[in-house]
Amino acid sequence: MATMSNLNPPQEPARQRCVSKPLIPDRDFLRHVLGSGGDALRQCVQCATCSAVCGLAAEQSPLPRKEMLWAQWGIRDRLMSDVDLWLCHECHDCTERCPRGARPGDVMAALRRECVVYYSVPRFLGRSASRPAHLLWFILCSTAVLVVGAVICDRMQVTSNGFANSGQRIVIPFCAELPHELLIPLFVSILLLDCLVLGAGLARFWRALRISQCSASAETRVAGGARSVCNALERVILHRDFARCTDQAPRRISHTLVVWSMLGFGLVDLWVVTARYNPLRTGLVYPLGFFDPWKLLANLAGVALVTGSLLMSSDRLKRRTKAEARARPTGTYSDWLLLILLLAIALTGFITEAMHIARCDTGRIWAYSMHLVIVLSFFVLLPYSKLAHVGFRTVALVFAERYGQRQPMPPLSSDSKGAQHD
Amino acid sequence: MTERGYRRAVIVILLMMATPLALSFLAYASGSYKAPFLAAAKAGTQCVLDPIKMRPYHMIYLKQLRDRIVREGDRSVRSGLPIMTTCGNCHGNRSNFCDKCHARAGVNLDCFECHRDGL
Repeated sequence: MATMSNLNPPQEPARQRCVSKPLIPDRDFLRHVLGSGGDALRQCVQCATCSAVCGLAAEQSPLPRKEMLWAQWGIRDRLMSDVDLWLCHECHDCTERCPRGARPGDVMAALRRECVVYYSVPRFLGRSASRPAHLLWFILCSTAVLVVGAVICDRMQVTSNGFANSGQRIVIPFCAELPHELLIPLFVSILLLDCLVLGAGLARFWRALRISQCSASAETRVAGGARSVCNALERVILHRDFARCTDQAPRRISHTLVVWSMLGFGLVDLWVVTARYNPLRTGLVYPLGFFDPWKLLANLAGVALVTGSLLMSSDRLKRRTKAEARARPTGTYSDWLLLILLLAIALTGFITEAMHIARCDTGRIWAYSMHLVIVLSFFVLLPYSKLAHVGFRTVALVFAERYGQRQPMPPLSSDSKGAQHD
Repeated sequence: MTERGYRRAVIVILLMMATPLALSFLAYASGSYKAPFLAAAKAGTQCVLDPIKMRPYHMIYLKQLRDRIVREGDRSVRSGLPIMTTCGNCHGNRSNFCDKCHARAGVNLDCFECHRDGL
């Protein structure tokens, strides 16, 4: 225990007000971390090579060395309120250089996964979303919801009523059995619920961060609310932290492609969902023609999504081949689940479009139904999946900007890094 | 990629995302969205289905009719209900009636590749 308290940053005046909490090891937590990609954790001997090479580690905050130690002990409370956990962008510079093969990068990813589960509301859904065996249930439930919805809409003749009300706007459903009157309320309400659930988790995370970092009070604040949010968003939008990675530099491009493609999809969806109420549009508002600017944007986003996800997948698979000698897994279930869901969404979307252009109605309806099932599962899993990092990392970045991120050490030149590695 | 190059790429992406919105505003301002593209049917006639239902369901309707008449051999339908060849009686102008809507929706109109252009 004495070792652990030595690892804390030196006590600042504001920090002295904190009552140090007892450190309680949690065996279940340790078991989960070991089971979700952090299995090499016990190899760590605290040599501090990882902190020496980490571009984010500050002088008084040995990232990821302190997280490795806390994880070995299973000190959940401290890890779940650790802002550094989310400042790490998984560049694996530490994993590459760890002399013991403890894979600190993967341990950090497993800890972040635990963090998402810990703050998920309700927690059993978060735990369930990280179990491969439960994926089938999410997909079956989504299918059932869509089928029941389609049957109810059919019985109530919702589609034809919707047409009657559309007035000057002609909105033709892409598939008559799954009309927009079913899809829009269903998906929008699930998305709102996702935001609510994720927001509740993030609020708890923020409170935990403030309590744990006792120095986080009004006096120690270095940036105002709006300014810290702007700074954090700038870091996110420009992918600043990815630029610090050396081994995994191409990740900046693949991540950019995926992020912007999803933003593009969001914009197009907003346009289509509001087609009935948008004052700019009359006449035939849906389906969109192939050369409609919105359709072009959606197709471009689809291509970017496929390219980005394939780049990410190949990056992970390449790491596997490189790592086989050292028997290293390449990403966990939650990493692959998100990648595969994104790829499946984009590919079923493109197949649907191709079937639509080829006038193959049966194929189009099947592909479209599959597309909708996958999108619905994706939406249901969203606050519990790896995509929750959008919220957690942004909150951590805002916190770091607001309460002063410890100054990272100047990056080592590539020569000195190579020398260190050898 | 240099930091400046990355910034430029982000600006290009933002412009690409703003383009459809800008074009939509332009189209609205120029009034092209308001242009009617469905020619009215011949005055005093009544469609076999509610026109509001006919818009999304005309192909399903025609296929159901085809199945009954051709595949199931129920020729009695033919005497009672109008079929595809009679659409043209009320909707005389194919280029104004079918083509404009299909072109706008990006749906390839392939009926008349085999069937006689009855319109």
